[in-house]
Amino acid sequence: MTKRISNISLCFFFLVGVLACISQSLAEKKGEGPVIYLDKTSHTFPPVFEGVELSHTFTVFNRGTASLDLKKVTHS
Amino acid sequence: MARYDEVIPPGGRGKVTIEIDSSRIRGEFEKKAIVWSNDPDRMSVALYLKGEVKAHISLEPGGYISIAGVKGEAPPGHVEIINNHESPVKLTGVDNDLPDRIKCRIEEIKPGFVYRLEVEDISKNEGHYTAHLTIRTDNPEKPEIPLIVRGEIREE
Repeated sequence: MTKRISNISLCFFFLVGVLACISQSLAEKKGEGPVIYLDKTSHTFPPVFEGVELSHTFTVFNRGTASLDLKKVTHS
Repeated sequence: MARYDEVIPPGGRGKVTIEIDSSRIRGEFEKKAIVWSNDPDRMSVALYLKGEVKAHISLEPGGYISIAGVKGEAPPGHVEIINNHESPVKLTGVDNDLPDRIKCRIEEIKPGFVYRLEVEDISKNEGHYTAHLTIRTDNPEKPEIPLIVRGEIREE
């Protein structure tokens, strides 16, 4: 009886260990490659009269381990 | 239009600049831009830009007048010319490309800020026409305001 309980405990700890390894591996993999990050994705201009050129610059961060390529910017 | 850094090194930062030509926009607007990248988990990021563009001088109810009726009895059409600036504006004249069909008269409602333009049909014959008026102002940002007049005049 004691031996059976001991075996079950061993299996449990083994399973927990395997899951922890998989989780860590996935976390490390997520940081690989380029990772785009913007702290602001919206902007409101103050009211202007017609003809004024409106311009706003967003800052883009690369939090990854490889170059981030901005391929294109489309708008509607 | 958009300008952007094409390559951003690991740990670095870059810029995406969005430019909007307000000369084609009136009133409140909302624009959306999408940045496409090689991030496998987030290939596109949406950017939102909002604002309001005011006309220097606006025409109410709009830049179009319709006159229809029997020759000599057609009711005149009118628009209000509204200066949206805090400083006054003067109307310096109205150019009319069909002077044998219509006659214009400007009345000051609130001097420098609100005017009323009345357009009267003076056709000697029946028929349809389209006249182009140009309201001239002393505002250097908006020296001309176009206005279209459509007429539909019939004999009794």
